[in-house]
Amino acid sequence: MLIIRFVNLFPSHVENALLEINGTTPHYLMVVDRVNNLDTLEVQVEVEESFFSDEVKEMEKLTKKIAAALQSALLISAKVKLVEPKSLERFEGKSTHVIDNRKFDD
Amino acid sequence: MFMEQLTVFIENREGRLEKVTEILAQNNINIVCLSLADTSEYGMLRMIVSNPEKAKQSLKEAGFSARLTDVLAVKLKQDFGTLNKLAKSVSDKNINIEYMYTLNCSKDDGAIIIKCSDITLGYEAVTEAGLSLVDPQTIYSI
Repeated sequence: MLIIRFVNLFPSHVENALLEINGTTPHYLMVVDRVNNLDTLEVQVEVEESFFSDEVKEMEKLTKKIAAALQSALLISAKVKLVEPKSLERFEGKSTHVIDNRKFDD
Repeated sequence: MFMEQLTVFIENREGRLEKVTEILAQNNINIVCLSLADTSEYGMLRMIVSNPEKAKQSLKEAGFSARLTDVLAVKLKQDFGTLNKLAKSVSDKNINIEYMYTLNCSKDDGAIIIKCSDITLGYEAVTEAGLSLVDPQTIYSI
């Protein structure tokens, strides 16, 4: 679990939101950062063949759909970034889906 | 009858286009023409290639998202108004052209690739404009 802007987030919420859109869970990564004292969340989603289109407008529609599904599942807004298949790092054993770049020591 | 177009999803990162072209080169696949649609984070590389199925498989094996789509390859004479004639015919069918790019622009004959929102109506528009399609086999064998 991680806390962003006072909201508790679980990677499983992201998984469920992605599952609702396409019926499968593509590989994803949550990247948390802090910009101007505000927590930001970017969700990187690998573009699988099943939801890849040859039209940019369809891909933009998909990005918006994922962003809307994440907003309603997580209750905070997230930036969605589509990335190439197999471009996100795979971890042995229990997979890690979060990179937290925030610094808490100041 | 329709031309098969290969589309590849590439991130805006150094060396991704190089990797795609390297895979195609290693598999002896010729790129006849291409169009690259860019957005702020990724590009959609659309290509007409000599062996679409083999190209798709080899890119997939290398981890790329690639797909084949039917598009219309329309012969256009180098003359005034030929594209206008085609655009008018498509518009009369109440369909959109989603994207287009040049297939060939020699002095005598030209040809363009168009993707219509409905390919069957798009083909009707082409024939009703008195135009014809390029035979895919002649392109795949280039």
